[in-house]
Amino acid sequence: MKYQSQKVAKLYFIAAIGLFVGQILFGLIIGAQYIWGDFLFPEIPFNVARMVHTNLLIVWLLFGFMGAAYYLVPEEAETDLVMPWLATLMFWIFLAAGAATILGYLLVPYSSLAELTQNDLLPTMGREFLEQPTITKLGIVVVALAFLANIGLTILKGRKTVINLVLLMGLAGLAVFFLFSFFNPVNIVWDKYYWWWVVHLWVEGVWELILGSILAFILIKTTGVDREVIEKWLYVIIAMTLITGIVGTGHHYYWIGTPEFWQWWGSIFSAMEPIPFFMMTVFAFNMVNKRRRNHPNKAAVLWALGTAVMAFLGAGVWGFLHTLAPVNYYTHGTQITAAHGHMAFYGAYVMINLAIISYAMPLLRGREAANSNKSQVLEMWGFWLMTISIIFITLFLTAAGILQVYLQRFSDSPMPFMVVQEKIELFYVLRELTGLVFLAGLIVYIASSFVGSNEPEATAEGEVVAS
Amino acid sequence: MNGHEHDNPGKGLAIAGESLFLLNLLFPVLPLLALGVLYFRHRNTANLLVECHLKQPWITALFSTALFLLINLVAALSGGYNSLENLVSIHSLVALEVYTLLVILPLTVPGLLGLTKAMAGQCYRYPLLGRFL
Ligand code: HEM
Ligand code: HEM
Ligand SMILES: [Fe+2]
Repeated sequence: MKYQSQKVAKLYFIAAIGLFVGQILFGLIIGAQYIWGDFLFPEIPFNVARMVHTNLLIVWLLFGFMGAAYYLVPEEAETDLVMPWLATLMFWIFLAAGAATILGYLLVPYSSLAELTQNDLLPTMGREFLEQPTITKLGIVVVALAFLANIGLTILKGRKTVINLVLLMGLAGLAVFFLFSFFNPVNIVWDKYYWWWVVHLWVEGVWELILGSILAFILIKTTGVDREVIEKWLYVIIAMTLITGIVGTGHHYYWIGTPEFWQWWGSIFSAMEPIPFFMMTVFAFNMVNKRRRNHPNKAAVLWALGTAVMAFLGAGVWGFLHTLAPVNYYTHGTQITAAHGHMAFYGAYVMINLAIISYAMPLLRGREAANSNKSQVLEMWGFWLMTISIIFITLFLTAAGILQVYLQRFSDSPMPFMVVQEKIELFYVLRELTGLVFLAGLIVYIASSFVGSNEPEATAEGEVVAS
Repeated sequence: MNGHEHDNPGKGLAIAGESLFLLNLLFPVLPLLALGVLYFRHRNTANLLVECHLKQPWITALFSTALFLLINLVAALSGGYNSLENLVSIHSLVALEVYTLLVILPLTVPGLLGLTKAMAGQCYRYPLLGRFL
């Protein structure tokens, strides 16, 4: 850590991990409700627990992105944050607003929450991932503006690197597209149309820029490869992201009442969306193969490489699997979608957050470069347990999805939804068991930051000589 | 780990070999032909890098293309392609999905690692499959 103000990142990272635990616990609750329909009913109904699961995911990823920005922007800009106090203040505001919203979900029925928060004045509630009361959404906008001002001014004051500019572009885009969550047309076609401007243009647009720049930062730090080389890759990756991802939004416009030409545009452009993810993988392995030194933080390098591979598999391969209109005609809204959603979110955005946390946290806690060997070994156990679990969760959901499509939508005598759900219960049981392994992995991961703190730092064996 | 990347004349060929292999997964047949040309022209080159990044992709690509043809043959025999109108039929869709899950998925990751190793001027053996080649 080179600048005092980077320290604020630590708060954000700790909160992120805390909320991650909550997300997984609620994932396990809804997973159990898939098996025992009345599990925890009426205390925690499925729709509420599902909302908590997905909202906690989004919120902790945002905490992670902000922490990442507060950590890497000063280092790249070679100057302290302009307003470190504002970063701390916004942290508490965001945490309080987030906690209040989750409590609101859990304590009062959703419709009462809508009344309580005056949803009538500016109705924005009720759409998947964007269920937050309008007042919370306004809070998010305030936090986002303060955050953007803080890092924007810092970048303006200091050195302007490609990494910082791409990150800023991504974060600004994140805020801008979020504004569409306030736009809630009565016409359900328009409603869905713009809803995807938040959801799709986030994960297959601006978040990918954030992902690319954080990955590039970690690779520069851990491999010592020239900045110029890394920047060239980053340029091409973000160009490909935007070229394919923006028109690729059309893969959500097949069956919602939009014109038919979207079946062509959506299929063609979204079929190319795996390209930037593919390039990120080549990029990451290439840089590590060409590294000029071995970094003592092996866990961080593992997370970075893991992100590249798993994002490609989850978003690229599993996305491609159901993105062509004739395929999506059968798979739309089935467990295939859930399979893809889990692996893509984990592989891309969970893992990049854990990668930057893994790189930065030891430095924020006063280490020179890395945690002790003991702690890193445990962290890598966490990596493998969680990653292998998500692979299996994805495979089980894919199997469930294939069966579901066949029984419910394709066979000569299609069966009703709920009958099919019973037939594929076995996969839900397997998913739940694997989810427990995921939780174990997460516990191991967290435990790794508490062990070996008194032991010496790991060192980089086998120094590599530059060519 | 690295070191000789600039002076190895085989690096370009190695990268081409792995790239064609990956391309052939997505668009089978034509890249395979190009890969075959490269392989037969250079198979006697005494360059370890070329040897490991041409022979292995070539044989694996033969294998993946064969699976591609086989899957489509099954689709065709079961009535998938009997007229131009029903080219997009359940048969061709299932063929596409089976090919993506069973062929593309397990082979892209080795191909990807092979490509990055080729770019770094290092040899690479595909996991599992590579042992037999
Ligand atoms: C990291 C990037 C990505 C993430 C986090 C992600 C996540 C998701 C999620 C959560 C959904 C479900 C949305 C809903 O609730 O309906 C979804 C749907 C979808 N995704 Fe992705 N995705 C990513 C990238 C991709 C890519 C690259 C493709 C295409 C190649 C793709 C294709 C699709 C399609 C076609 C659907 C609609 C499925 C349906 O019709 O039910 N995704 N994605
Ligand atoms: C312990 C492991 C987990 C379990 C048991 C679990 C379970 C579930 C369940 C049952 C749903 C509801 C699906 C539906 O409405 O039909 C869901 C949705 C979702 N989960 Fe998880 N989850 C787990 C971990 C995760 C992780 C690690 C992530 C993120 C990386 C995640 C992201 C999501 C998303 C994005 C959705 C919405 C997907 C969609 O509608 O297609 N979950 N989860
Ligand atoms: Fe999308």
